[in-house]
Amino acid sequence: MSDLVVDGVSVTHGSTLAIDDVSLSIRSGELVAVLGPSGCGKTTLLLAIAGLLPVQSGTITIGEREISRAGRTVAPEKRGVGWVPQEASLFPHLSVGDNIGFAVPRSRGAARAERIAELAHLVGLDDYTGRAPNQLSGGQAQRVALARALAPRPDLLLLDEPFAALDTQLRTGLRREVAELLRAQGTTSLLVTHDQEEALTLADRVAVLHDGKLAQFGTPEEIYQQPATDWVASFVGDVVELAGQWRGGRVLCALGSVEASAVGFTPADGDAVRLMLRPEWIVPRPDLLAQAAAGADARVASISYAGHDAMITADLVDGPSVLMRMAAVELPEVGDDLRLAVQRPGLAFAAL
Amino acid sequence: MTIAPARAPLWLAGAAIVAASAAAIPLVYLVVRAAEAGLVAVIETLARPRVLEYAANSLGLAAATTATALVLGTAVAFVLTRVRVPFSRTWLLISALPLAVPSYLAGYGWLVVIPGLNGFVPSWLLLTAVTVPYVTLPVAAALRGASGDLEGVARTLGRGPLRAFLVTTWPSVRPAAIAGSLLVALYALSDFGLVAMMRFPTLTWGINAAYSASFDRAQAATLALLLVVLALVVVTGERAARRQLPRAAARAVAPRSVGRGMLVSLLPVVAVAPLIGVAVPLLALLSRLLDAATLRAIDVPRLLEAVGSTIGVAVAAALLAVLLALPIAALAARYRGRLVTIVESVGYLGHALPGIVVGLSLVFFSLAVVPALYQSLAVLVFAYAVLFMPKAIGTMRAGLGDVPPRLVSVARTLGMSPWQAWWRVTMPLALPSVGIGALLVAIATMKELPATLLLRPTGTQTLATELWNRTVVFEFGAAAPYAALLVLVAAVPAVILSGVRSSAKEEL
Repeated sequence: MSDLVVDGVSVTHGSTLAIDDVSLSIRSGELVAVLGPSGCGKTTLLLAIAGLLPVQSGTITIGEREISRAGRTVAPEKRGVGWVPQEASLFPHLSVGDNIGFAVPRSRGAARAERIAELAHLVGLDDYTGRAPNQLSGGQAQRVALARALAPRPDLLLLDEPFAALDTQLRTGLRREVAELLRAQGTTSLLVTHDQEEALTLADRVAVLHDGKLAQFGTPEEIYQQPATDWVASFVGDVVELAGQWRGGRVLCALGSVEASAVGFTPADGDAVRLMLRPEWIVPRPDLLAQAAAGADARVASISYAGHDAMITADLVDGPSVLMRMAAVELPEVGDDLRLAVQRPGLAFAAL
Repeated sequence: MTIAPARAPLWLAGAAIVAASAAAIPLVYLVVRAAEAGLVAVIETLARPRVLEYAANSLGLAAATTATALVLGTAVAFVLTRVRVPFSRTWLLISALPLAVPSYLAGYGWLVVIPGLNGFVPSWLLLTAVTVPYVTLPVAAALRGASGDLEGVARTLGRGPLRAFLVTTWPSVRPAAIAGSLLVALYALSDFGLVAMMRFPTLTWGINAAYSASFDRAQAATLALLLVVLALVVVTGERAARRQLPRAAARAVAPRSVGRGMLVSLLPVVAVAPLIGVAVPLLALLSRLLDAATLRAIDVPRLLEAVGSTIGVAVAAALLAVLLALPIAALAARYRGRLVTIVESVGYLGHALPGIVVGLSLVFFSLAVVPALYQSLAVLVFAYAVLFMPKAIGTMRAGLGDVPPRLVSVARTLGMSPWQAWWRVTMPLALPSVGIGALLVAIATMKELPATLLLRPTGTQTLATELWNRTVVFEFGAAAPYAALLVLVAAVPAVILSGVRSSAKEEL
């Protein structure tokens, strides 16, 4: 159908290479997040897919149709690609209804009005079609921008940090709503974001961009549990990093002998490695020790309380301190002694 | 993230180049004409005692007017921004009023009061009164924009009020004052109507005399070239000063209260220019108009005809100027590069060209290149368009530049071709600026005198030329109805427009 294939694409922005040999393949109906810190080139990638920037090399294809290659860019209006920009960017001189219906020719008459009403209903703004854009809140404006982009039934929808300008509460609600809506419509979508949580919760798959290069492309779980590089590991979540020594599938470190898998290299016994764990992999449950990857004694040094959970800093008996994330139900107190177990195998990266 | 501007599309660059070439015709043709006469002839003409006298008079008048306008304008701006004046906005509007009155109208009004006025001093004083706002407005804006915090910091570091002002605020006001004064100098150099009424022989007067009295076209061309060179020097300086204007707005120094006595002694400073440039001429005009003999003698059909042709050429000129300015403004609003800079600068040429020069050059041009159009309305309208196109370019460029490029990109992703996106998004959003640009051109056209005198078809009279023809033969009563209507159709809309859009004030 309308799979999007980005194949070896490089894009220069000004004089810098903003996107460097990126390949992605997105299946029809999939919602993919492009995740990266600001300045990593993710918006550039989006603009190239929209046809608003030319590619330096590589090709972009939707279904059977090649829409970009070096020296040949199909015009944005002929790509069937919808775009929801960062700040809703509604046309200020048109009503909400006319914004939504912008891409639907007026000659369609009643069918146009019907389509506008349908989309206004879809984004929950039935009664707003007569209003001016400046009478909308930020969240409402984003919904209109979404409806406007969906109106011509694009093969692919591009969303450029559409929730970034909204306040936290609104953001959480709206993004879930939008993701559900896109899935229900079966629209193939590419969502650019710098927010790890947003990418992991919403997307079917996540493409992590780092300095214009694709660092990893996989399901949210793969990205979080099996990061391809130490940079991805620390970018998508908190990490506990401990120096250790490789010994036959385990890492000897302050937490004991922790079962681990090596990422990106094959260590020999005795090699120095860096062990990486997620804070929630470390739990104060001695009962697990028999089956756990490893364990150690520690004392609670500080607790940073975040409502639903808490981040605990615990000093290990022999050496460094580690972070643990616990559900905030029965929290220990500062000074308590804990017996820690590591719930699941860690990741070993080559020592620096 | 912004979308990097691509190279300008060929059709836009092409249209802009065509428009700029049209704007360049008067200057280029003048140079061609002078070159034909030969360098020796040019130097010979320039060395004539009469020509030297014209040049000295022009420069002297420009220098004197600039100096007085600079001092008075800065003082007025200072009073209006730093002293708590009751009705300060009204005062600012009043101090801008002289811009709406063409110099020759002020001259007419004073001649009604004192028929014997002539020579340097009345020219100088009236020109000063009419041009002071060119200094007052930008300096007041700069004073309001200058950071009061800096001045406060200087005070806490031990500087007295005057030293603190000179050290911190003056440097950011200076470029505005210089740019404003150079506009005054340009106005004084280009002015024809007032100096001719005061029979003070400057270059503009000399050009008109050489052309119309003796039909000595080579001499007229040489004088025009000399005037253009002077004007271009002034405009170059003005643009350089303008580039140094600070952009960022800051928290201004709050105006301070002064005693009633002090206030009463300050207000004459603010009021003197509007009084001399506007109030006295208009009152004189009114009293002469309401004179029984005047009212009896009004030739209504002729008056209506003049109103009709004035408005007619103004509308035509506005349309043509907008049409020519549009591609230049669209190009300058979105793209950068050497070509864009050149095209834009050429588009602004009319700003530097005195009306009499454009008139003269287009007389030559139409006679030599398109004789069929000589003394036709087409050439007259074209002259207006070239002269006042800069006003349209300025406002339209700002209006087009304010349309977010992102909106155009959104329209493209929604299936619009570049043309459709331009028509459905850019144009509707920029329309107000196009309208204001057209209105500014129309107003300026209605007030224009020297080019109209040279280029108008025989038998066609505008309000300005009717006023002129009667004033030079001292028929002040017969001139009054034309003057009054000129105020109504040109000056009043100018004032209303400046109230609607404060930044337009300088453009008038």
